[in-house]
Amino acid sequence: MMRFLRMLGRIFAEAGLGLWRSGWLNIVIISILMSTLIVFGIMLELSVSLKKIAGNLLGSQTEFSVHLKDKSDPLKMVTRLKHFGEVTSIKLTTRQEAWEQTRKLLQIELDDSLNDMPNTLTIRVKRPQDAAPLIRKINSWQSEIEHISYAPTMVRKLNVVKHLLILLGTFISTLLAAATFVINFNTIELVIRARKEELSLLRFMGVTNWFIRGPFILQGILYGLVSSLTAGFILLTIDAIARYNWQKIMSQQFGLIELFWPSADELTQILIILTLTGIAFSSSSSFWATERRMGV
Amino acid sequence: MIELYRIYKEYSNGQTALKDVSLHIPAGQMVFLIGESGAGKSTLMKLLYKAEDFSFGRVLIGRVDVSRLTDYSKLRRRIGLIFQDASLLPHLSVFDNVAYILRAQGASEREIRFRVEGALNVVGLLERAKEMTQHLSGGERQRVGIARAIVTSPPVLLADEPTGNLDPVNSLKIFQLFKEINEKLKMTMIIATHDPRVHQLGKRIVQLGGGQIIMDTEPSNLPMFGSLAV
Repeated sequence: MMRFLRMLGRIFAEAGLGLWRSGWLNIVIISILMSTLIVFGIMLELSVSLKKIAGNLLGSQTEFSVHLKDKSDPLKMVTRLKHFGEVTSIKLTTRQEAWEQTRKLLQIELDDSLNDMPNTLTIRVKRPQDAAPLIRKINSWQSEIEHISYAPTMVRKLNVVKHLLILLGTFISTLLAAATFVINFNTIELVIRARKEELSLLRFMGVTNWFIRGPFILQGILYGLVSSLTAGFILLTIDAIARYNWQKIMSQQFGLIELFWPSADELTQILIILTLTGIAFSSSSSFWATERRMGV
Repeated sequence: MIELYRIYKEYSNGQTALKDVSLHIPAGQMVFLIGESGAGKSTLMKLLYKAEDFSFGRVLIGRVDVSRLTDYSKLRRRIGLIFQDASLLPHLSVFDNVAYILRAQGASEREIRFRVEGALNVVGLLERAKEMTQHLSGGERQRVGIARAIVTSPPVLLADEPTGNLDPVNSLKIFQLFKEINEKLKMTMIIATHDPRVHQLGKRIVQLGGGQIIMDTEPSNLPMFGSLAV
């Protein structure tokens, strides 16, 4: 065990020496990998935001809200709607519950006498194409219905924008990723070539394959780790600045930030994805370079 | 013990480097492999430490059948190698060059210090352990190479033209050192050289010519010249 730990420590030391020998190329590799991860991270954040906008503000293509007139009995309406086979769920939000939610969101004290909110049924159907015929039927109950909220076109457009953004992000990330891969691969390969005689000498001395390859792969892991941590720090800084400015300037026109901005949990998930992607990506290119150039 | 049985080595261009070479070297024996350039000395050495594969035949080092090995590092750890140009790591000191293989094997710093100082003492370079290798003369560099080869106490020592880059005086000093190491440490040693003066060392000499053994002289058959004057 001690012997293994000592060897591991020495592999780390060799990796450090390798980094020192690579000089300014380290900065090039880390910068490009970091840029790739920042673009990738921004795309992930935008994707999360668009998903939240679609979910929180516009609803989905299979969901719509029916606002009832004051004289209408919501429980009777629920019973009536349950007979439709395409309906998968019905959620009733009473006018009192809606009023409470509004007070909570706005964080101000409002008198109940001001409550003019309707009872609302949120109805989910099996497929998007089931929504329109059902809405037409419900609309015909004019004495019961005040208004139906359904924005399928907007949701569809939003989904298209989301997919385009993901495609664009994937394209840019792929280009940057390919550049990083090539540069990292070539750097490790150059180091291997420059040390070819030394490495073959080590092999003839009986140094194990992993002791020779380990430092190069570790070097790749370190590139990935440093790049992703730097990218994460920059992303968090951008996020904090944007959040602050939004809350200060735009929130009054566009509503509460929590409805569409990635939460702390979601940001943490994005950072974990970035770190794992960076490490996996960079170490795999190093692994491949050593596999190709150092077959023993 | 090293055993070569009917070894053939043919390159992809059709050139035959070794033809039907059989050789038995008992444990602890020192053998000089001599012959002109292109006789097959280096090829034979490379077959032993698996830098090249043989086309036909069988090689045993100790009880290990070299042709059946998949992990060569195990074999190479049992062999100390000495090259013509010493092949030292330029960015490391004398001590660190000798210690490198021990570090790669996970030896403790205490064991490393003990073994490296012992090896450097054998080659007479203990006082210069902290120096960088580029500050050493050719003969001293080769001594560091020898210390590196013996530091793990391998049962077999192979030296491929170890004096090829040295002047006659230093060459004889190196041969004398090999003889001392053989007598002290009882390692099985094969030293490839084209230096005819090795006859004076009173050791077994195998001569290669055209890829075949053309002479194999046991020590008892050699004329005695007394100790080598350096």
